[in-house]
Amino acid sequence: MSITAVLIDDETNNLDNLGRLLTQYCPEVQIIGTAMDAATGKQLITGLHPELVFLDIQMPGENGLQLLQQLTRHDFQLIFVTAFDQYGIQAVKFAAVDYLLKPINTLELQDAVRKAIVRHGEKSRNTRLENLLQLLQRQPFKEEHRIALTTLKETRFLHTRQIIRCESDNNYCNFFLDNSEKILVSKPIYEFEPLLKDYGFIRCHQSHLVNLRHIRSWIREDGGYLLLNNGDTVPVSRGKKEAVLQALGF
Amino acid sequence: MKRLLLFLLLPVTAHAQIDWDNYSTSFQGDGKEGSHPVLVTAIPYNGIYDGATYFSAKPGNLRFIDSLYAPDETRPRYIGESNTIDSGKVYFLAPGIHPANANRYEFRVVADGRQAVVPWSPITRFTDPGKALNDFKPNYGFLGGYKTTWGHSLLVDIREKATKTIESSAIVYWRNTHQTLSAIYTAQNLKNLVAGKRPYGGWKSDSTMNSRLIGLEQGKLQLQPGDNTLIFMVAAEIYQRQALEYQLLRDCTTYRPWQPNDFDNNTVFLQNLPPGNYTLQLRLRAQRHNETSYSFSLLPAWYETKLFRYLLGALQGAAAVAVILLFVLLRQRRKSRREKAAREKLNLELGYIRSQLNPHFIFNALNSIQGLVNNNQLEAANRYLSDFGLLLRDSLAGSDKDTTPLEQEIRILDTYLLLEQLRFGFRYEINRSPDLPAATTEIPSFLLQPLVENAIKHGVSGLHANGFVRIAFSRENANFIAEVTDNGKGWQTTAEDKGYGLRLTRERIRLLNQLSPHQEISMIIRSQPGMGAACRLQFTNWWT
Repeated sequence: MSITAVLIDDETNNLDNLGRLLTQYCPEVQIIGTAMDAATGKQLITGLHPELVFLDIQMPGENGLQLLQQLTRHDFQLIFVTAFDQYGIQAVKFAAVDYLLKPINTLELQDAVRKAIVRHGEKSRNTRLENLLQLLQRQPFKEEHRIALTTLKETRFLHTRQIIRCESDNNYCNFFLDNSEKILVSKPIYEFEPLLKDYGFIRCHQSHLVNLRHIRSWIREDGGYLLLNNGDTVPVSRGKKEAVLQALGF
Repeated sequence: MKRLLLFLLLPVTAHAQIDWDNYSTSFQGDGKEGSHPVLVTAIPYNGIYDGATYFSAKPGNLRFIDSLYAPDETRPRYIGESNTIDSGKVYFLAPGIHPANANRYEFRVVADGRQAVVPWSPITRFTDPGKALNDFKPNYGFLGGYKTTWGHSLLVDIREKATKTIESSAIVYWRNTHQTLSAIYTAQNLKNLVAGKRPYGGWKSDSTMNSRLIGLEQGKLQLQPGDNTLIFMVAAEIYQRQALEYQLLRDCTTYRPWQPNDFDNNTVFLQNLPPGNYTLQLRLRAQRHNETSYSFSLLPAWYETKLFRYLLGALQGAAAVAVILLFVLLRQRRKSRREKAAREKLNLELGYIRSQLNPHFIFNALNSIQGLVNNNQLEAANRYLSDFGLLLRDSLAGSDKDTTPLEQEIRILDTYLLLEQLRFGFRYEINRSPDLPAATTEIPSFLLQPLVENAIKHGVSGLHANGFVRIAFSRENANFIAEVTDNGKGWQTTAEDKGYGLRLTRERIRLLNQLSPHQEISMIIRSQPGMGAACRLQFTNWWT
């Protein structure tokens, strides 16, 4: 099964390199066009209707994210390609949109392409991408942001206020929601800490990430632990105690 | 009675030692030698001028029991009657009787008209020729000194033996007396004393004091706060301080015990008394059993009241507690500020150490990739280049983070070992025990990297495919264990640390332990030349 693709990056070398890697490692990808800026890229996408887009985030002039926001249709799979962009990457990770880091790891490239082909076969709309764009558009309104959580069966989009806490289960992470639901997500807890930090979550323990708004009280007994609104108790490790108390306004 | 008899046995010359100046003498008549003998009483002053009082009484008031009463005896028209308030002896003298005519007279001493202390006796003793008394002829009769108990009397009679005519009589009563006050002054009415005002009926009477004296007698006197220096005037004319004794009680306990007065007069001076309820007790030394009590109270000033003292005490207590709390708080704050500063300093130092570590292996890795490119091993170069990108990204992310999840640390070490493997061709493995929560174990970023670098550089770098490096992570109860072993050349651990990296690691561990003393990290290196090396890190209480 093949998939048509467009490559957008501001550097020729990068375009050549990615093209070569795709030819060599992902022969199922059929490159139907390349662009070196956002405007050309937009024309390519609207004109050629590619099934897959490789998009560099950091570009002179309009960047990759701005390009996406100008599109009316999001019926393609997207793989970001980025060197080092803290801000962009955080949002992309939050929305669980695929991305590759330069220099490109061929195994990761193959994996991303495989997933894109699968998803392309499932449905025409790219809900993850739509969610990301919505998030970027409403950047200051954190209440509206929805995090994409990928479980074995599906991808859930949740407002962060719906999450009471996260508890590590080795390389997986359990999310406890305010409707008593529990979701097992296939990523380790340390991946979520930087994503949720700006949404009022605190890592009070190596195994626990807690939404501050759901903390009912701080219990001093047994070295201190947190009582949450759903009745759960969460331990606080010694090293984190100071930070937790500070976050709670003590 | 026994005492009286004892006195009679005293030698005749006893009267020679009497200090007549201490005696108040009295007699009936004009003090001139006449045809009849005169009876003189000598009552001791002992510090009180008005201790003796004299009257003239008619003999009809005398009462005798029958055995002492002669119905036909004649007496003079008046007899001398006196009171003494002193317990001492009263002496009787008889001017007009001299050694030449003494055999014509006899005398007796009768107690209470019922007992002849001395029955009719001849007069055998006489005063010194030098003892003068008015115009009487010296060297007259001396009848002796006698005393009785309080409330009783002694009567002395002199009679002519031939006619049994009683020529002269004198009776002395030993009177109980209570000392009374004549005046009381405090600072408030002291000027009245100076101005000459006197208590009671005086023509310039001191009404303030009068009301005070009345209050005092009724035990109702209250003195205003601060009016605490008192001058009491005793009615008796005291001229020797020992004669008057006083005791002061305050709130029913002895404030000043019985003591002679402070001055040779009738003034009792009480100075600067604290507030309280007082009782002043007065007595004569001669009559210690007759005490007079005056009660008064000295009101406390507002700042001396119990309520105020309690409030003050409470206030002082509160202030002390507040001061202590403040002190503790300040010390706490200073301490936490100091700790914070120390922590910041430690973090700075740690950051510095990490920034020195990173470039070290980054450039080694670049060097390895350069080697691959030059060897035209493009596929390998591709792989290691992306691994290097990962390593660089992680190290950059790690350098502003204190800790890294073990999972990531393992990936970084794996990448690093892969790159170094390209250069030296050794084998390696990374083991982790299954009970280790790798996703939730955070370890100090890049702490192990210099140890692994050491194992390669000083261990297996020359051994090519024979070289072997093993990194093992495990759990021992609450402790997290990381071990780096190699089968390389080994080195003498007693010698100085191998390489810059190891020294920096030691320094970093020392600083980390200062930051978190409850999670101590210890590093043990075992190595001998030719025996490889093992470096073991123990992270104490790592999951609390």
